[in-house]
Amino acid sequence: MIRKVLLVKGIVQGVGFRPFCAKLAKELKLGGSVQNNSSGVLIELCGSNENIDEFSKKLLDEAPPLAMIQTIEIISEEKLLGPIGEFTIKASERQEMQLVLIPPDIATCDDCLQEMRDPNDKRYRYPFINCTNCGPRYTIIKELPYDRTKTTMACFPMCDDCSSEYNDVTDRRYHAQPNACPECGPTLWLCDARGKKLASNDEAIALAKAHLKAGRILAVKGIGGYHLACDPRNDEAVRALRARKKRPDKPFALMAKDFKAAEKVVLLNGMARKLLASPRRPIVVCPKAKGCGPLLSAYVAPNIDTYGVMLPYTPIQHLLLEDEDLDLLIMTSANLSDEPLVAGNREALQKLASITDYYLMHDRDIYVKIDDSVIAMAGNTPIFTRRARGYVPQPYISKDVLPPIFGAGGEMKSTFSVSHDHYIFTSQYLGDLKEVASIALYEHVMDMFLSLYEISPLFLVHDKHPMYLSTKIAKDKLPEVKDSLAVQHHHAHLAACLWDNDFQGEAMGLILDGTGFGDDGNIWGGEILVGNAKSFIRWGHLLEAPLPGGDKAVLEPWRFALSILLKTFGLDKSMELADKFWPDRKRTSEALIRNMNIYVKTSSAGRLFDAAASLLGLRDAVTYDAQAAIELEALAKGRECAPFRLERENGHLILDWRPAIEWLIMGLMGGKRKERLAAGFHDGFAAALAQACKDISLETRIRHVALSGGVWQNKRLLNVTCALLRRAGLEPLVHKNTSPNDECISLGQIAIGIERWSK
Amino acid sequence: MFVELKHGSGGRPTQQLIGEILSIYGDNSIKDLEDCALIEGGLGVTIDGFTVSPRFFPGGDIGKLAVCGSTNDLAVRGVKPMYLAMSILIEEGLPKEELIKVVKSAYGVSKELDVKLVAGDTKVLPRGQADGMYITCCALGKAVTGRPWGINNLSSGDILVITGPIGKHGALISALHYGLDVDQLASDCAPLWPLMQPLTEVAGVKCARDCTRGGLGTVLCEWAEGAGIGIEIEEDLIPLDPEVASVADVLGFDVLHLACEGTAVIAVAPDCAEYVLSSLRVLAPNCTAIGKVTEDHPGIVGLKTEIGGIRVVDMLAGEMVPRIC
Ligand SMILES: [Fe+3]
Ligand SMILES: [Mg+2]
Ligand SMILES: [Zn+2]
Ligand SMILES: [Zn+2]
Repeated sequence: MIRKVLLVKGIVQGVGFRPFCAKLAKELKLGGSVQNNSSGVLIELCGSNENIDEFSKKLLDEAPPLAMIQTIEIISEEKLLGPIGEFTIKASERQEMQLVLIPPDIATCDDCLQEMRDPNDKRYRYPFINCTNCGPRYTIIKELPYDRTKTTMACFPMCDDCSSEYNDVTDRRYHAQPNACPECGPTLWLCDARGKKLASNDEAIALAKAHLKAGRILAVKGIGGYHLACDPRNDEAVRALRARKKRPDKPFALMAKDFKAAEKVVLLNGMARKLLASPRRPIVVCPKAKGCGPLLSAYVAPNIDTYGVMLPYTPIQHLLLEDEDLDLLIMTSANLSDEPLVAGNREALQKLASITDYYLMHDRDIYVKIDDSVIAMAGNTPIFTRRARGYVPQPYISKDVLPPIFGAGGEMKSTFSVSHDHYIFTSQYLGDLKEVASIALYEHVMDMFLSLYEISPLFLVHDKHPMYLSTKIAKDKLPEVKDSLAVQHHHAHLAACLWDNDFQGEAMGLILDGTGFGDDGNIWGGEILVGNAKSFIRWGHLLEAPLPGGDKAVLEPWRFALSILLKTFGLDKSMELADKFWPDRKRTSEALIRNMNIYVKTSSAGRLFDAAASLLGLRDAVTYDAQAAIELEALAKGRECAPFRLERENGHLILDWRPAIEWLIMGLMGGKRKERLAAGFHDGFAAALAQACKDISLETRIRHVALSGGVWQNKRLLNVTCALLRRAGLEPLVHKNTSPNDECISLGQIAIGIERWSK
Repeated sequence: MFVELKHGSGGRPTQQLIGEILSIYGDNSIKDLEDCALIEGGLGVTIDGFTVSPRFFPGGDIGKLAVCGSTNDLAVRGVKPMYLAMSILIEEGLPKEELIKVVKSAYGVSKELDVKLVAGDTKVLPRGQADGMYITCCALGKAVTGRPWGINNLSSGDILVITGPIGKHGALISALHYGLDVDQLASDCAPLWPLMQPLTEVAGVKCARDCTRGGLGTVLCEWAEGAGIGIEIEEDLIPLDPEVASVADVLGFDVLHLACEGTAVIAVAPDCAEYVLSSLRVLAPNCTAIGKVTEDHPGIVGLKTEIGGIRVVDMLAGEMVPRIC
């Protein structure tokens, strides 16, 4: 008989790890104890050598679904002198160093759902049912160690029943911090737009469903904030939601009762199903099902060929979607324009009053706001377009101890990252920092991360852009860093993609996005880089053209379209074409053409796709980010290949789009179908990118190609480029755990900082 | 490192350049960066250089601009303009009648304000070493308010009043510079003292600023950062000329960054906002309240937009148009 003490590190707290250990120990007739401490979980085992080995094996094989075991360390091993004794769970202890990892929020598990649907269960239809394997986590934790008193559940003292579950090692709710029942837990109620309570609990659900069926708009409190819900089949309701939210086109996410309901409107492949059903429950963007058109209002996701769908992940959502005639709901983040979503009850009453008819509210507070995660399916390849609920705050783990660095991130799709010990923690998507409310969120989450993990960054990495607010906030909040570094935006993209793929060597980088501040003061965004986190060279880029009207040009793609017409056809022909394409904008277009030389130049690939969309007559102005390019992708059908040209100029490889623009205009004039023109623009561009990589590979022997930047959310471009690269014997590196868009900038900044400050 | 055009924008780079210059002077300079300095004897003094191109424009010329620009800096601190000192740099070959025309125009405003020219200097530079003429104007006057107007007085709840439509001077000069036709547009170039004088008696007036280079947006950022307060303004309350909007649209400028030359923003205690507005209305019929000082988001200026969010307003980052004033 021996006594062995193990220290398990990783995500092992708040995921049912201790009860799991207790159960396992009982099975194997082991004595000892298990205890959370600030470095992980400490397990003391007393019993036969064999059984203890078996325990260690099962620990890895059968760990609870959201546990992430990083290491199992043997602290001590000795002969057992006394008896084996009982296996107990000991109270948490707080130590000096705090390295516990917080689990993300977890969708309601099947066991809980079963109970919730069992009329004999005390939690029958209870909207806050949860257990050790499911429920809110990240969003309710205020402090570590993870104990009820440190969460927003602290104000709900458990009843005797709940308390005995909580304290019973064998129970599914053993130390489930949000544990509650109808007697002691939070309550649900429905109120009108002025906050007048109309019904509680199950009656509130019934009334809410009735209102949804009647075409009303509801604000429904979820895990990370409120959703706005309405019936997607009801044209009038969807239009009302668009009008009230002042959101004319941006697609609304759907929540489907189950796969069956989802498949009425989208095509699901194996990977999509896996993601949809995973306990992380992201929104998965899938192709619209053939013939689903008449089923839903055309205003749910206009002008595009996909729907974003998710499955219910809270008991409330399961209850709302239980009827066959309400098996699909619009569930869009409740926010004003680009602000962060609304999460507090008072905040909701104040901010959503003009949008919603009713509120489905409850009194379990959300300590930190977090949006739904969004993953788009490019065939079988999942691409994050927003990494948030269900994924955050799961860290990247490095085998090395990392210097403590804060990466301030970008600006539009802002996140920050912070390295500490063996980990890199990346915040959730924090929104556009040009919004005052996003700044507050950024600061709140930053404070939270730094205090929860007790990190004091010694180094700061930020973007080179002189005006990024993320830089300003980070500098204000971290005045005492030892050193800081300004990193070029697209270098950060490259480094992020390499880190995400755990790739150490040199790589090419096809970095395609909307805007990044270039080393030469121009706006970059169509960059062919060679390098790694240590350094990079700008091997080549898209042909540059003036961006007439700065930020205005982002909202009005026709402006850059005009600029590329001028560059392609010269003054006379471009004037003529401008008159034809934009007759109402004659006055402005003439002024722009005359002054084209005053505007900053850009090599942006995002703007190029926007411009192509405008030339094809899709739209001249956008109402949401990348709308024109998204619609161009949706339009593309068939096989064509627009001619792009590669040239060497002053040692730089220039990807010249002028032949493709000529081809586009010729095609338009010749009456070629726009679907084919759009397809040709995508595939021709992909071919040119692949060719560029082939050329560089011949010269450098480098085989890997990192694909980063928001443009890689374009599924067609991604698939065609990857296929062409592979055919050429090259290996594309696609983002895995983070988005290719600017959400990844902070991770890349950390990767670059690690190169700089690791001794 | 070189001085760049952006350092003359009036925005953030200008602020940084001034910071560097003042750091050389250390304690031998004034620390609060107001438009005019209040010095011993209850006096206020300011100096400004004028290089505007073109020198004559609808609504004014470099001479009128020089007197308005310098005396306005006094007026917005509650200082009655009384004396001027003027230095004129002239390029060889400038038609004399043009010089006379400019000086007459300057005299016109001076007379209207009852300010005396008490010191002056002229220099002639060889052809090519200056562009026509530049004027530097120093204005001196007497502080007449009970407490000096300044950003230290700002506090949560104060109402922000603008005396008229914004950005007219900047839009006009930009339009002329880039060859846009705007026949309806004239500069707002005008003296502010007649407007401000009645307010010097009102105790609730806290702080004022003429929104010159960098525009209203830059001024408010300076207030928010300088006083550590938050500011919130509403997009649809800000008076705006359609012609100005159109110039900004074409050139991609933010109207909040377009310069004014006779339009001030004034912070007043909430209880006397109505009084101030009615008093201003006599001479400035388009004056209006556009927002307020808040406790939220200290150091940040927010713009409530039509679609409901609150956008961050930052200072102008680079130059928009060279030589605007
Ligand atoms: Fe980017
Ligand atoms: Mg001045
Ligand atoms: Zn459960
Ligand atoms: Zn209970």
